[in-house]
Amino acid sequence: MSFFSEKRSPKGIFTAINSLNKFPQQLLAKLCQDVVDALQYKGSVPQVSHYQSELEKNSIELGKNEVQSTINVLFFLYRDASRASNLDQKQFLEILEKQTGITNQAGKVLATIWEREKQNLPSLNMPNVGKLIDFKWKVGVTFSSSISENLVTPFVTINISVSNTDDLVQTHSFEMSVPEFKEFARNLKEINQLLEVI
Amino acid sequence: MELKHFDFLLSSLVKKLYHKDKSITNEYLQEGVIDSQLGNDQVLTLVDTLEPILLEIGHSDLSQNALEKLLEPLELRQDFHQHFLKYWEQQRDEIRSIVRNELIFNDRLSGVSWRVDMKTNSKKISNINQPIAIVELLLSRNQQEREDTKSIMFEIDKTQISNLVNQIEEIESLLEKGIQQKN
Repeated sequence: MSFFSEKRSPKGIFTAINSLNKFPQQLLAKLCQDVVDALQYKGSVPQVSHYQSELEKNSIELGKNEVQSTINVLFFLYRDASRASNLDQKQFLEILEKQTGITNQAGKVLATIWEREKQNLPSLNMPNVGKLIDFKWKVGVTFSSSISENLVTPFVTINISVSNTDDLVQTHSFEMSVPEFKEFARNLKEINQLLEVI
Repeated sequence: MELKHFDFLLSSLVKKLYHKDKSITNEYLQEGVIDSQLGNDQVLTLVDTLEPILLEIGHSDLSQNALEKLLEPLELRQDFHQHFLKYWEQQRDEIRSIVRNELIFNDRLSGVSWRVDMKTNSKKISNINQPIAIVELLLSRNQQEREDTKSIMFEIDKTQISNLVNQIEEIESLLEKGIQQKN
């Protein structure tokens, strides 16, 4: 998904930029800076409630979701820009104006911050992480084998399909003995708990 | 022969039979008990009696009682007999998992690692800054005495992991039932 290189726009970008256009200039600059800082792990992710109240002080009413979308779109844009090779301020602004409904004024704010910070945003490349497409399992009991006649033991076989960034699907199969399965289960449950809490 | 010699033979044979340690040759075993009163032939005879028992108990996962029955005809010295029983008790779990892993002919799961991230790139703006987990599975396979490992990485969101955990719990209860039936 590349906005600046391939001109591909994610769903919802127009609505998000619309909300962004309503920001007073200084507040927008602050938000951009916060996002860029967060991308460098210099600061935490901007808080929706904080920006909502700042907007209210300027008599601008934006709902929680709308403010959240402005934060999200800035993350998306700066991250995407850092991946595009040698994007200068002028190109940044041009593409932004052409692809979204951003006002010239708001666009200039985003582009200025880009120009200032682009050295500090290294190509934030994520490793080739695919998406889990399918998960199948079966439980069997081996009741005899050439290696051991009497070892009666259950095995769990898992078959997972993962799609990579090019939409190629690969399927992998593996077996686990009961203790190995318990360890696998423990990890998954931990992840589940964490994702529920965040 | 003293207890320490007997112990040496037992643990060396386990290394040979289960850990596939090629350095445990007959010469190695004879060297190891050189200060006992045993002649080389006697050592080999003893080894020939102990090996099949060690193989049997590991591959059949025998209980202590069954092991006792196997040891009876050997008429071992009392302290050797006790030592064998105790040794098996200690080694049993590890040997069991070695044998189980031998039964996995294709890939087995050799490692799981993961981290939780905030998504910052997606086809939908609303997905950005949602927490996702990135999971890495290491799958290993024994290829002619070498171990080949491949890594599979994928991201998974709240809904997906919740689904997975439901299936995991299904598997867990099946295993519970299965184990209860066996006992």
